[in-house]
Amino acid sequence: MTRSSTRLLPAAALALVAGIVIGSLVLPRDVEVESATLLSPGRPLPAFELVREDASPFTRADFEGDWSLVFFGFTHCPDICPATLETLAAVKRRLEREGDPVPRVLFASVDPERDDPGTIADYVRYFDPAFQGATGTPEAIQELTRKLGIISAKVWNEDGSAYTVDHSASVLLIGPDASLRAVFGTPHRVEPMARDLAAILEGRAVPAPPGGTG
Amino acid sequence: MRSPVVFLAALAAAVVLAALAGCQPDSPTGGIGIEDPWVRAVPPSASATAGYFVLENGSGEDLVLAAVTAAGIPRAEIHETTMADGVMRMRRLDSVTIPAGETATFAPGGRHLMLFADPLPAAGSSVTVELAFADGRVLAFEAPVRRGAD
Repeated sequence: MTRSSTRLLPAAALALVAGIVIGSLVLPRDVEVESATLLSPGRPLPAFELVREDASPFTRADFEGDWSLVFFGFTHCPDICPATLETLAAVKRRLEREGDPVPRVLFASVDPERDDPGTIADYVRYFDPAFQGATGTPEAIQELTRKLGIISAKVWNEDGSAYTVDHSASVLLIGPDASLRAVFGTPHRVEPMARDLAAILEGRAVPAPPGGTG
Repeated sequence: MRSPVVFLAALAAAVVLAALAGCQPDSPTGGIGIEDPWVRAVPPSASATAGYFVLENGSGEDLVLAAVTAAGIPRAEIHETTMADGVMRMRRLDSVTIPAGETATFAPGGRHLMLFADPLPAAGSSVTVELAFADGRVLAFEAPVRRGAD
């Protein structure tokens, strides 16, 4: 090493530090995602066919080009389903207010016997006019949920007069490439979910270190 | 003929007194407090909704919540949502025991009142809920119907 390059070292170090400081102020920061499990690379969705309100099919291709949040539930569900949809509506309002990208929200029924396409569309629009609903044949729903790792099971009450549907309460994030990119587990909270979604959609998300606070 | 009349009058007076006593907040449900009661406003196409509240048992003795009724609601039950490995389950509870000095929370994602009606009460209205305890005590309160995110 020459004498002159040795003399340059402190200056280079200073420049490096200055660069880091300025960069951290100017460039968007990475966000450690705590409210969701990231899938990298994304897991491509299988082919499927659900039904929309106007009876047109909703297929894998309909996910292409946009980010989408998907929640499986049913309209006879009084607690978790409306609570989750209220949370997703609040997340959407928050993203809009912050000027962040906003994913589409799709509520897919795990109770196709009782939820016809019109019922489920009316139901979700109550929470946000832009929310979409989809249902399908019991076979199509079962196959799609199974492939996505969503569990659902019909459970009758003691006197056999009514049933409920036990189901996974996770919210799935589907990327514009129609692949599963993240899974938001319970409980769903507006603030961390909105922050993490904004980071993922803007490409600033990094997984939280194992054993973190999440 | 006189004694049955006297008896009936006494009985009527006793019923009125009992009813009046029931209206007083500190008796016979003394020490039982209800905080933040609300009923979730849900879409018109829904057939059931949930009611929430926090019950503080300051009565000095264990309480057993045995039944629930709600004005204008044909069927009301106590339910519990539980989460296991991310799967939501909901089951009816026969009763809930609230030990003396403790608080029972009925909240989204946990214990709640399950209210079945068609139509369900709209946002902005309220529902009169009556909790019936195993010892015969009844506690009534108004729960506003509103939307809510957690």
